[in-house]
Amino acid sequence: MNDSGQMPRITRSKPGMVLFLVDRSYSMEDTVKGDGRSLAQVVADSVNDTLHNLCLSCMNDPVEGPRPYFQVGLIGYGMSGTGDVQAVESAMSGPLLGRELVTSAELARNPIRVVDRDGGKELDGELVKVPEWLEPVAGYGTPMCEAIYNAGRLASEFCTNNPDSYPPIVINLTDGEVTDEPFGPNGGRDRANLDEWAGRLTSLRTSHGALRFLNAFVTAESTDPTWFPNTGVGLPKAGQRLFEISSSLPDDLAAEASRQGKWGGPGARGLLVNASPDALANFLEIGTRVDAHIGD
Amino acid sequence: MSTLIEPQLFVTAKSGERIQACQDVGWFSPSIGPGEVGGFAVADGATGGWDGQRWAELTVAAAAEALVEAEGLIDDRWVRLTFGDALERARTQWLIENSSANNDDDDPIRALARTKFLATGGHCTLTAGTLVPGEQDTWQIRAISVGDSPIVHLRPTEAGYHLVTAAPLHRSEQFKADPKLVTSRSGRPGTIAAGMSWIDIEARAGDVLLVMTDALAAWALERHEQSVPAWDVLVGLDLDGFTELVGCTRQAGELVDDDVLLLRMAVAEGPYRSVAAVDLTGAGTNHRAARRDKR
Repeated sequence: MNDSGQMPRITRSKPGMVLFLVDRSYSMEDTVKGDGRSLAQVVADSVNDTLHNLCLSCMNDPVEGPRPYFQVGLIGYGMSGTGDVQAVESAMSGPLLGRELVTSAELARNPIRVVDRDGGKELDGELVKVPEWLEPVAGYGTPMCEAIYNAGRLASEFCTNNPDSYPPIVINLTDGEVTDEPFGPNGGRDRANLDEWAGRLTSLRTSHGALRFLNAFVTAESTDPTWFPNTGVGLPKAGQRLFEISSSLPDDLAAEASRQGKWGGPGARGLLVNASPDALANFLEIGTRVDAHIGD
Repeated sequence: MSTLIEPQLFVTAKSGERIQACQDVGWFSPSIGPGEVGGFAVADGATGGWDGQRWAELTVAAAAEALVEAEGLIDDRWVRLTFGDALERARTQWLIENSSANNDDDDPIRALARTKFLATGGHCTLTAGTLVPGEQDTWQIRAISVGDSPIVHLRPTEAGYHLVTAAPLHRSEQFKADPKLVTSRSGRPGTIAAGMSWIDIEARAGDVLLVMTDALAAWALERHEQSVPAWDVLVGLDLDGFTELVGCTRQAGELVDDDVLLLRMAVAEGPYRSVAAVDLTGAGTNHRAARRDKR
């Protein structure tokens, strides 16, 4: 565990940042065994649920709507939203098309659709309407380096503008191995491999700690997930690389993982390997759990 | 010889918030029953719940309705039946306002609002009771209290106002982040007895009763514990003084930046005075008097 100490409240003047990196490569078309959805659909559903919960956590007034407590981004890498080229780009659609970071207030007011859903036991079985923001897309390669480079660009600007905010949270959701190593922005200069781009990303920090870079390796196979491991030994090859680039689990996330019996021990990393749909949803819930720190 | 209850209410919102956003709600009536029985209620809407302001309004309205129905006699049966029924009606109203009306279209904010409402419900503290004329110019105050909006009973001495009792909380360290609350959730609004306290006070001419929400109550009790004058300050406040007190103490970091409500009820000697306002909820200060005129 690291980055101990009191975390700041996430407020309108000191917003938080949550950024999803979404693999949209060809293999995300695979159907998840026992589920029937594609990996791309599972990831989109999980991200949409997480964004929904994020909006709810920012909301105290029915008229005012969610407050801008967060800056939120979706970066897709693989097939473009238009479906005709490989791209690393904002995966926002509809009114937010092309926007790299939007506030939670903007996000809440601009979903691509609102769908009906059974609220389940927690909502007394009531039918509820749930907004969605991310479309499932799959095709082309896995330009993960460029995605991480873009995450660093956005997070660096965020940390500069919000030096005393809660550290940024970047969550990468992928099923494959990087295909753009070594990557160099601006016409190929300053080329670096995946580990170096990730190192640059995780070196960013606010006064309250280092950026949190979490990774989920999703798979269409029905294999037991590995939660927050503290060693890369025994993981599949792609999982080993993701272990190397993931942040050490900060204290608050480690405590929550431990409470749920999912902490991998001292040195645990922010990584989920062989994520089933349920495990992925749980992982995103833990990774973005800052409820106790939200509000002004 | 006669005594009357002189009420005064002060309310303000958090720094930078409009008074309309204030989640503290108060009510007083000088004549809820025969013999000039008075009633009062104060609620503090909880930020963690959904639209704490509205639930606090509905809860105070339910308490007021039940107190009027009781005509001054409140007991366990009143809590269970009269107040329980009124609170159930408040919950029905709460459901109508928040649930069905917000599920008719695909507006994302209304969709989020409905989900949040269903997931969290509304929560508030409540302190409510009656003021009944007793023997020899005294007043018997009987109240229920859920949460951290205490009643403070003060008596004048030559050295200033003396604390007779504060209840249900009487020390500043008792104010925590998770007080007991009256909740709208899951058909259980009437089951408040587990977290409820009964408060019985006998007040006489010159005494002052203060009902305060948590921020001001914690501040005043802390000053009292440190032997720093607090009670005379609160008894002597007018609206300008209240505004100045809240501003200065917030700036000094002494007062938590929260909504603040103070309902002051002074047992005064004097002739009957008729005053105008009925509903004490909302901004600023209002007056009403409950007369006790023994002949």
